Amino acid sequence: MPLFSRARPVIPLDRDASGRYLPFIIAGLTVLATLMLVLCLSLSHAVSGWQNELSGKVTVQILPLDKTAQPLPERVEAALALLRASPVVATAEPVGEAAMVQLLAPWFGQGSLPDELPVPALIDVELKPDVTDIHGLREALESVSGAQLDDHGSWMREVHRLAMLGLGVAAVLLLLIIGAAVLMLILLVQTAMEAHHEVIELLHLVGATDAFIARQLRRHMFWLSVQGTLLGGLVATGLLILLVRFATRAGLDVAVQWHLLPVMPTLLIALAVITAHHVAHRRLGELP
Amino acid sequence: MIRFESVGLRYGTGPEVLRDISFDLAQGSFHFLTGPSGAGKSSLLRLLYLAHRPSRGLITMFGQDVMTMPRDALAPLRQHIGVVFQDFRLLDHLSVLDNVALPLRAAGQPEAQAMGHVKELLKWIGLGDCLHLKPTVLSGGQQQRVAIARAVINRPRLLLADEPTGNVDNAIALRLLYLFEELHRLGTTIVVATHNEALIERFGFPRLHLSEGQLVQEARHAAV
Ligand SMILES: Nc1ncnc2c1ncn2[C@@H]1O[C@H](COP(=O)(O)OP(=O)(O)OP(=O)(O)O)[C@@H](O)[C@H]1O
Ligand SMILES: [Mg+2]
Repeated sequence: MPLFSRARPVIPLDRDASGRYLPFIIAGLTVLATLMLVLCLSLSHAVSGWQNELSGKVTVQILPLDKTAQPLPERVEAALALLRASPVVATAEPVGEAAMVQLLAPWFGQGSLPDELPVPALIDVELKPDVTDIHGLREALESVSGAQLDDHGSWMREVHRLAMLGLGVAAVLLLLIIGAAVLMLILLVQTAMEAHHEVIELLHLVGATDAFIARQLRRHMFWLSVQGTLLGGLVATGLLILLVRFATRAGLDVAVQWHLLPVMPTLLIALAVITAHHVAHRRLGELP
Repeated sequence: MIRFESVGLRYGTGPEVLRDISFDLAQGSFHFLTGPSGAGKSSLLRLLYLAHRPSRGLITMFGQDVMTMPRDALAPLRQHIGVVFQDFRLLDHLSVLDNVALPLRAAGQPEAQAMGHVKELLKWIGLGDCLHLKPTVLSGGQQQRVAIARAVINRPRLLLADEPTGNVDNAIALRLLYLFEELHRLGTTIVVATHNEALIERFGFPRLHLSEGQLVQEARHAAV
């Protein structure tokens, strides 16, 4: 069965007033849905990038204590032993004197550190991949006095969680837009069939099959949605180009996933054709 | 070829407008369908052209039981039935040519072949010059001829007409009946609903007479 008939339209659908506005409505929905999709997925791509950088690195700081306490080097050794034995840790390396000088240079200048300065010892810890919960590690380190786990990823993880929440909301909105589009398409096909019920009944009586009549409606909806999504796709592309230009000027590095641009137009065209098919068959089924 | 057995019809939850209708139409027969206004002539024709399913009874058409047939199987059956509606039901947005070609397109006939048939038929009924006109600019008689052309283009086995002589003058009515008689000779089964007693007398075909939704025997009708 051909998807679209070649014969000239038997049902004068192209004269409907509703059909004249549909491309613009579909264009609007295409713009919204495309921006939503492209921005969301670009953002999610970026966020998962941060996630990769962040996850995996923590710093353990061991503070100098007064003379009565265990000496600092011993405590560093204890912490290192503890860290290296932990199942979530990949590597643990003490930050050497030279690196320490480098770190503190903004305050004390280059050169050796003052001897009397109580400088904490630092241990760079690389976590195993996919480790996000370092609660156990933190508790274990409590046995070493003066040791603190500095999880510089934690606030970024909050940001990440927030971004994910935003993505979730956006996904729901996207679904709502698609749902609205489907409802509108259903309504439109129903209205068209209502407006042309005399022609459709006549076709039915002269022996036209449901498939024949449904094909006419499918073809009509196909062309309307092609017009609409083309227009909407162009507008969305223009808006994205502008957005990227502004973002770049503001110093933001946005990696737009351009290949996602045709997704919504294709989806909406498919939905239009599928909706026309189903509504037409459902309605025609009511005829004897 | 067509058999009704105790057929009843009601619209929605209304009263039965047809009751206990039983008859047989032989292949190639010609019947007039008569009866006062509101007797159910149009309703009976609607059952015959499968625009309605009866509320009870049995209908057999072309040897197939219509009542138990799946819906999909009815479309091919309808392609063997030509109907001339009382109000013609031509599509105003299509040309005469496309109107007449409608049943062929619906039946999926190849376009070139269909066009050939349609032009030939329209020429034959004297509308060769009107192929590309819209029905709205035609006279009543011309519109009727287009309606008839559409009804017969598929070479139907059953031809139905609902008061085809109602809207036209006697000369045209007569020509129409001659055309039907011609098709009858070629083997088409024909049922014509009409009030026109003069025509019935003139052609003398048997009649199915309806009264208050019931078929009345011819003998009893003669007595009335
Ligand atoms: N679509 C419908 N819905 C409800 N009732 C209907 C419908 N069509 C016809 N009727 C009723 O069925 C009865 C028979 O009507 P029908 O049109 O078959 O009569 P008819 O013999 O063709 O009359 P006429 O000579 O005036 O055309 C009438 O009482 C009419 O009111
Ligand atoms: Mg009637």
